[in-house]
Amino acid sequence: MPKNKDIIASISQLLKYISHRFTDPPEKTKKVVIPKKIRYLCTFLYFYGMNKSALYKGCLEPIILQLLKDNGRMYGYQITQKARELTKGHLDITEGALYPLLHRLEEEGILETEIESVGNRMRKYYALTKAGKKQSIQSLNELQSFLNNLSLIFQPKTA
Amino acid sequence: MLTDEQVQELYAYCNRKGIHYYDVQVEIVDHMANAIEAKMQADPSMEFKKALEEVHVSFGSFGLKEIVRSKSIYMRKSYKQMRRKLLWSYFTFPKVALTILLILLVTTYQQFSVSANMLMYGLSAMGLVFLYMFISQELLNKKIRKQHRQKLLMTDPQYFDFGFFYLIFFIQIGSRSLNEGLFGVLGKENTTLLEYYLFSGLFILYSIFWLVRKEMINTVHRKAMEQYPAAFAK
Repeated sequence: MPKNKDIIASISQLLKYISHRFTDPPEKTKKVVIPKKIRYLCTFLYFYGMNKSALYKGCLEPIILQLLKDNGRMYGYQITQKARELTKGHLDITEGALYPLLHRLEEEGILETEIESVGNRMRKYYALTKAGKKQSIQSLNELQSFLNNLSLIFQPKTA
Repeated sequence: MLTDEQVQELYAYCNRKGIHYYDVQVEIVDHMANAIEAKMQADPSMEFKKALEEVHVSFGSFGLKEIVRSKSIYMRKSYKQMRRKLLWSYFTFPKVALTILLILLVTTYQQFSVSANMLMYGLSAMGLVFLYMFISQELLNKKIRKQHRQKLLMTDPQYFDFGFFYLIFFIQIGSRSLNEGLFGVLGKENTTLLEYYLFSGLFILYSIFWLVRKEMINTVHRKAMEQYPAAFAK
């Protein structure tokens, strides 16, 4: 980890550089080299500050397919709750991300739907089709290889 | 479990937020009702309106709009696929062969002992059959539209937009462009003959498109009536 002095010096350098960009014409500004350590720190802070759900976003499709494979048919709210329960509250699937994905998978013939009356309201259930079952295996394999690749980057010794 | 009035309030909430399609509302209402029930169960002193406010925050207005937008995009895609499938079903061997046979019969009628008058009556009868089919389909569409108690995204007319405009368009192509453009090159007689074949071809294409549209509307409405009986008047 870089020392505090280094960080402060680099940030002040960065601010100087930015302020120069706005005050002086571009050709007069000096190129400031940001130390490697600071660049790594900035990247780390960026990802740390990012919403955790954003990291899950790209994996939503295999997650949903796996949940449907394990639980048979499910409805939207049930999917969000199951995902939250299994990840101990870490994965919070928003409605704005879940339903468009479910609609796309339905259009692609990966999911089929059933609408049933439950008490005083209607409920739409989603289930995997035959093609969906194949797709779920394929997407799980893709996810596995993705995880392997990530571990090669983050834990090169253990992978 | 929410009361009937509370569920109706959720439907009204969707309408206020610009979600007017019943097939989209059903999903959102169920999701919100589940979330509200969970909140009220966790805190029995919580009122319905307070729980609704909290659930609304998690959804957000943009989230609701996004659901409709995405559903609309994927529905359009799926109907496009359905249209293509139905369209190709008209280009199978027996149908194409029958069409060619009919064209040959009409063009070589002079070799048979069929008078021009008889041919004209035959064609007029065919025209009347087409007219009857057209009117009956339009009446059926009107009846279906009247049956809708709720607006459905899956039966929205925007997906079946193939109407009279295209007929006029085809006639324009068949009658005007060739007549003027090729008149000097092919001569008047040949141009007329080519125009006749082109017009017939376009008319057949239009009829096929029209039949596809009819088939699509019927299939989609049948499916909608099965899935959302509450959206239709009994």
